[in-house]
Amino acid sequence: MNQALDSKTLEDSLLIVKQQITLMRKCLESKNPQFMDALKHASTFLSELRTNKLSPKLYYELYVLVFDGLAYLSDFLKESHQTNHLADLYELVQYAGNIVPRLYLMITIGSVYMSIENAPKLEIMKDMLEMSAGVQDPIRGLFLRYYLSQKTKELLPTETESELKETIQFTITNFIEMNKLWVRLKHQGHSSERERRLKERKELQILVGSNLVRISQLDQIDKFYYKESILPKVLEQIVQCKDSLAQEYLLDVIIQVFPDEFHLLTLDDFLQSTLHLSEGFSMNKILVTLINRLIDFQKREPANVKVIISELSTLTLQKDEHEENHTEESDSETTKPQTSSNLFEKFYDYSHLLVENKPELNFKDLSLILEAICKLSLSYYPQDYENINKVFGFALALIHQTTQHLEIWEPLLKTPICYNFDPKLVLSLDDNYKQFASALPTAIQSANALYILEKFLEQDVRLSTVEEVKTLYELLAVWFTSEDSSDSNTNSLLFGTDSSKNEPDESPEVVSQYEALAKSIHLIHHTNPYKHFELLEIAKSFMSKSGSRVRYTYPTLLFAVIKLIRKLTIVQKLNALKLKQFCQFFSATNTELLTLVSNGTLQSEGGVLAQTCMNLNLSMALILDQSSHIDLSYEFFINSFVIYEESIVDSRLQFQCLLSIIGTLHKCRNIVNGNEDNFDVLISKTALYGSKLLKKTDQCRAVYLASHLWWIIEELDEEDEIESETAKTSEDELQVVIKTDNKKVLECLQKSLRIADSCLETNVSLELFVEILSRSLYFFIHGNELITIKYLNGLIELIQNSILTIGEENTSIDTPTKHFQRTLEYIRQQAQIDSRFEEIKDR
Amino acid sequence: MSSKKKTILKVIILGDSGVGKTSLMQQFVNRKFSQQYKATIGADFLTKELVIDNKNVTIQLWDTAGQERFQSLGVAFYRGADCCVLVYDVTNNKSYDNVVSWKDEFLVQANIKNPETFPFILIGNKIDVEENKRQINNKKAQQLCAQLGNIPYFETSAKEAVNIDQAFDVVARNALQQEESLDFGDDYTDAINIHLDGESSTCGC
Ligand SMILES: Nc1nc2c(ncn2[C@@H]2O[C@H](COP(=O)(O)OP(=O)(O)OP(=O)(O)O)[C@@H](O)[C@H]2O)c(=O)[nH]1
Ligand SMILES: [Mg+2]
Repeated sequence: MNQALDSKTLEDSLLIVKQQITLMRKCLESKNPQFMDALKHASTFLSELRTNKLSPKLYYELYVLVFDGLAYLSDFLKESHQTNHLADLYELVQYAGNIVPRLYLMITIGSVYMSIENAPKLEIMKDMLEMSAGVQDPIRGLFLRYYLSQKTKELLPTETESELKETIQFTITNFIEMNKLWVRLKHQGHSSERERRLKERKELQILVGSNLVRISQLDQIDKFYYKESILPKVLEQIVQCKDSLAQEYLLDVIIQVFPDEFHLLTLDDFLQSTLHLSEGFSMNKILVTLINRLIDFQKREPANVKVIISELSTLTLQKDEHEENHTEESDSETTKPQTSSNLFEKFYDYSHLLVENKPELNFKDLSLILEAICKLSLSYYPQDYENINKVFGFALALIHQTTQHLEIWEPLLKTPICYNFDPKLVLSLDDNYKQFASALPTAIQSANALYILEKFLEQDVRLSTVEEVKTLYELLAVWFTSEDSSDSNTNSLLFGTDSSKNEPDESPEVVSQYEALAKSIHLIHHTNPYKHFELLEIAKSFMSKSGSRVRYTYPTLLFAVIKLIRKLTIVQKLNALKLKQFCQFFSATNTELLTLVSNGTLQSEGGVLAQTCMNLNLSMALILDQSSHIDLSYEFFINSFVIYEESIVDSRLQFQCLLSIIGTLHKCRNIVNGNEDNFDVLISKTALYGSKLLKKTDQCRAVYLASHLWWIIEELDEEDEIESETAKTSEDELQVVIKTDNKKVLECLQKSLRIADSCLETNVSLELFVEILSRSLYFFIHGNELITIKYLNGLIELIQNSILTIGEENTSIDTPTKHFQRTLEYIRQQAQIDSRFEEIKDR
Repeated sequence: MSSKKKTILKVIILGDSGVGKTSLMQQFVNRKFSQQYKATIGADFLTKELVIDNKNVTIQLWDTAGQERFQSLGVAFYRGADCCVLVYDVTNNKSYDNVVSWKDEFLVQANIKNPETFPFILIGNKIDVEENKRQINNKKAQQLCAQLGNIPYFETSAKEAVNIDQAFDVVARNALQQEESLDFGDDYTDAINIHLDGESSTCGC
């Protein structure tokens, strides 16, 4: 059929109908109503409904207009039934020439007749129903019966039980007849038109469904009546019609139009019947719709759901007892599966039945069904974690039967994590889940792992038992066994530095995965630091399996150990034996990291990692000093030096590292007091490293900074308690002298001065001179007797000369000159409070 | 005998699934409310006789499915509507957001001649729920009304029968006004002209 022609036909028909309605209304609304003429006009416009040229949608447009028109006729009849005897009229229209107009008129009059008191309602209903069988063309028949249903809906008698029965019978019969017409349409016309037929049938479906709506609107029907008398009949028709479109649609309608309680009570019947449906029926759509509806119910009315469910379980119990008494007689009936009142179990058992009974079911459908069952369990039984494991056990069995399109399982994999995220549930997932996950493509596993981890991080979920830590990392297993990383590990171990193919350049995804993994270490927590440590050891046992990618996670792990020692130090509960363990763990881990550097796996990235290793070592040394374990502390300093010597090759990094070393040593207190010899070894070495740096400027600065290691004075705030007797008072400032070695300080300064002087560029030398002057002033103020006025004056003179030589206007010395001016300004200020400064000549 | 022109007012009720369209109608027509949710599929109507300013009218309320997959035959029944009621659920942001698209959809499908003057009514339903579940306050609702062209707005509860009659009274009055304004439109005159043509042929039978 041509669409343009189609709508032309419609336009013509609509016009005729409009005209005739107007004429009919004129007849009805005039002072002397011309009823017979009105009927004629009605008959004329009704004849338009005889067309077979319209698609269902267009036919419906015509129908709507006709329906509106007939409403005027009904209204007129209602008001004038005294004068127009309805029974006679009902008979009269039977003689109208054509069947379609005749039946529409009959239903119009019949329905008004039904609304009159004392009318033989049931007879009229029956008669109209029977007469409707006269139209056997599917489209016209469906609309006619739809009209019957629309016109009678508010008039169906339901007062007595027998009336209710008749009404239900009437509606169900109409439903069955409509369904037959609807299914028959499939076989009409040429086979080349099948596509179009299907489309038409889909459009018409609503007409068939409306009968079920009608039944659902009968308030007299309770859930038991529904279970006993309604659902079986409807399901029977649905199963028998053997048409998958009808089956899918009608089951969907049942789910939608009847209340949730009804479904809960009749779940077994409903599910059973679906096992007998035709091939091609989309099982997952129906089940997912049903489950979603039940989930919404739980969300909307949780309290009500509770009541209904418990009511249901008492019903089941009673039924079980009842059945037990009859086991002997009804042996054949017991083949039905045992039903429990547990919703999850019902669906779960059903999913097994499905697989057994419906071999044609595909995996995609099954995965969707299992996903829905998971969600159902998570909303109805959020605490029953075992349910979820069961589902994945089943999924695992299924996935082993296939290797294709594995990606269809991804949504199921994510469901326990994304649906109402509950960390307890996730941590209760057992081997079923893990094995299921590992059967999927690596990319999916990896994405899921990141998804899990991000959820945990987002909600800051604490991991405080061995089980929890293990389970979480087992769920992330894909990151600890991935081919490439373990490969690169063995490769680099076996073949040393030849690692041209082990590019450390990672994709951004991998980096973000392992960064998240590093953050996961912060989730580990136990109030007992020793227990906490054990958990870290477990974490490491997982991380260690990620090859060179341990570089993302180990530093965080080491930092966590340092934090533990600090904590224990503060509460003074650090046990020496345990501390040894901590240290061993720390060193071993650190060494593993350094291996990556030394075997060249990381190429240029190695230097930065070595720096990190060294800094971690220094932090460890410092915390050990603070906790008075000075021998251990010394060891870690020595280790740091080894790293410095062996693994830091880049001169810029060397300088940075040296600054870290100086800074850390300067913070040490106990090692200085407890074993000054050791301390001296460390600081002498440090100064030596400084003098060996590549660049003169670095050398000079490192050496003058190192001078501070021989002059450690702690300035105290008023509130600080002074424990040490060495506390002296100078002016009103309190200070504790840790170490002062006038001579060594001077040596350092002299040395740095020589280095500065040996610089080739005079402006660089100048800059360094000024810096050394600042340092010297510091020592002067703090009472180093070897830094004398004379010394300072000498320095100032040196600087002034050097400025003169370069020439004051030379812009290359702007910065040092300014710095120098500020220093002199400072000296002038100091002179006002400290008379010693007056002797410094500032010009 | 006097000329009695019968007035049938056609009203369409639109809004997302679950906002309470069916419940509002049930409360207005049958004074009933049920907590049970029975989704509407397709379209369904209820009628009620009303007297407005001494005039008898039949109001035909068309309930529609919020789930669009259930409108397989299209929405031809929008045609000839005299008023459109837009409903949202005050506990559901999304239903509020969708009101505008329901209105636009209606205007397109119903083939309304003068969209500016066509009567719409906005209803925010379920005001009986606890305050903390409410997502749309009165101020936001007023904003929407303004956006829709200052249409009348009612906050109702189908459950506790709050404001139902008031809302439907305005619906009926506006529908009646609309119906009367159209009565002398082209449809009528067209038909009379053609009636003259057709008379000869119909006379014979
Ligand atoms: N608390 C409360 N619940 C309501 C109210 N109105 C409706 N409900 C409930 O909301 C649910 C949906 O109501 P319906 O009237 O079926 O919604 P609908 O708009 O017709 O939905 P569709 O037919 O799917 O488009 C039912 O469970 C009603 O009991 C109300 O005013 N207050
Ligand atoms: Mg509804």
